[in-house]
Amino acid sequence: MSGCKARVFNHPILGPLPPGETCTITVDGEPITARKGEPVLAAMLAAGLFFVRKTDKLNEPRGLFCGIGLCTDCAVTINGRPNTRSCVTPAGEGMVIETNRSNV
Amino acid sequence: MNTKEKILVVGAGPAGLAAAVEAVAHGAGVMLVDENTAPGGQLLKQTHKFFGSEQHHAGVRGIDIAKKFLARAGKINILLNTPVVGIYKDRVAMVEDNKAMRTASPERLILATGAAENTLNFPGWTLPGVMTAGAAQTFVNLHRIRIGNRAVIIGSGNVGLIVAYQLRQAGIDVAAIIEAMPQIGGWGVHAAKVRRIGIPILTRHTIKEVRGQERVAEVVITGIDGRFQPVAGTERSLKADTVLLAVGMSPRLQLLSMLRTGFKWVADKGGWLPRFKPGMATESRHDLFVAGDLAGIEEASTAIEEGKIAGLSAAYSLGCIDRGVYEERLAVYRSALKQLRSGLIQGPITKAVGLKRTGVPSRKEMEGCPGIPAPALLNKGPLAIVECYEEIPCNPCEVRCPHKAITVGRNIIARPVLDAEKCVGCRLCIPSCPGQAIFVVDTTKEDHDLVSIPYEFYPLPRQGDKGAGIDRNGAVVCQAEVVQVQAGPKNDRTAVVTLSVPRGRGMVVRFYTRREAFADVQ
Repeated sequence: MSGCKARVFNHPILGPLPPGETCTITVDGEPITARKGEPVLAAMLAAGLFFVRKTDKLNEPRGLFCGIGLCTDCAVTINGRPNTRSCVTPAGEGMVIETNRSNV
Repeated sequence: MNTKEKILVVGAGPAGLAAAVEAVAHGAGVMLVDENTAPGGQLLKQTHKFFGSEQHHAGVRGIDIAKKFLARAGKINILLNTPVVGIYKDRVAMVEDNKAMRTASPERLILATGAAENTLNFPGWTLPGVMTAGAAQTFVNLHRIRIGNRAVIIGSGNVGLIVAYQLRQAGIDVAAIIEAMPQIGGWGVHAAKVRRIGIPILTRHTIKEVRGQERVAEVVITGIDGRFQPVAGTERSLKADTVLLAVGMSPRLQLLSMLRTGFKWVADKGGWLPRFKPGMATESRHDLFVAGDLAGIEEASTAIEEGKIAGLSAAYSLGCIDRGVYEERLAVYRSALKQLRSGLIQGPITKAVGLKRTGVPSRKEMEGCPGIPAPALLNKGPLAIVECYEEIPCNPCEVRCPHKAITVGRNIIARPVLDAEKCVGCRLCIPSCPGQAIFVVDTTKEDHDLVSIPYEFYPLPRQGDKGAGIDRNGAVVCQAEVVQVQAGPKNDRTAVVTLSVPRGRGMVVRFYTRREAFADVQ
């Protein structure tokens, strides 16, 4: 999904997406825009990054699964801290996300 | 925790919030902790209107119920981003603000940790795009991210049915809902909503395999027999990039398991549950209480009542109120719980077997429905058609009607009865129904019928728009022109769209689309 189409800007019940502060975070060195305070994974999905890591043994892609911080499938390294659940970690200006996405 | 906060409540969802508000109301000091960045629990994601009675916030959207609660909880000390990580004999360990470990030694502990979703394993289940229904609901409704373009939903319980509808509201297609059992798991009213917007519900089907490279690309399903074995020749491939698992929930028991408390197996409430007494104290410890989905998977409304009971009991046990007050309040809350649990929520299966099998009522079911006026009466003028077939505790329609034409009665699980003599077809009832089961039909015009339908999608149709009339099966059946759209604040975001359709179609058309699919229909 491309970035713009991934955000629900207008919703029949939730109404228009309220204007919010944005910030820039980097994922493996590439900058992406996040809404301040939204989970890192939400920003990644909005940027079209629908898988966040590859498994150690079989190199299989993993991404959003439980969405509320229970399954740890979304774990990435954030600001140097490994195994951090991206679905419940709020994005902040300058956050550095490192994944093993590009591992072959 | 200061010495005045003698009650610690873990979890600030509906049960925990209700417990905290209740205990504080009786003079107890309360500390409320939650692992999330905001209080409200699952309420924050429920965009639909709730059922029940006025005191149970019937007709109010879950997201708005959360706001009401939070306003009442204003003075309570809530620690957010604070997961509780351990319970020991005399203390509770938590990570305050996700930064530093600390402990608390409350005199009373109320656990309202809720539930977690079950998973289903099949080839391809780890592919990105496969997620729980709750994950989709969280990311779509709370974080406002479209998690995919087109989804297949496994499981036709209320979660699967409601999330299907919510995906469509966010502009995400749903290819199908598949269900292993021979009938739909959730309420017929929710199934009817998704069938009329064109989402197939395939009973006696299961998932065989999900294929894709870095994401779901194809979903292979198969028909199954009475022994859940695949039926040869029924395999089908659906194009989708998302698969939602709506296969049930289980209470989050990890914290409770650290203590020597008893458990009991209750299959239809999520499996292993804590053993507890009517006052919500656990059987093993008088200072430990449970409430909400942790005490058995149910609804937000029952979670709130259980939370109130737990908060009340904890406050009483600390001497904050006397026995007379306690027993009087307890009786009120237990009576409310009993009413909520009668009927569909935990009661007999509906007799509307057609509706339960397919999401579309049979002719016989419609004839036997007290909310649907007999065909002979339709000549009178515009009339409300209350297509409510199930005994759900709910009565906003009765409350809303200014002409007293709809009767539910004292026992609110009764199906609404329409009095065609009193009904003037004013359409005020249409947006009041949380199940969107009410329509107004006028078959008295010379050369067309008029049908008014509830409508909760963007783009909203506009007066003069020409499109297609859709029946209860989700099939395009005729042309339709939009003659009026009512979408004022009193509707609470349920617009009422009035359509002009060909004569004879007034009791058939139940939805509308602008798509040019009607081109080859007469």
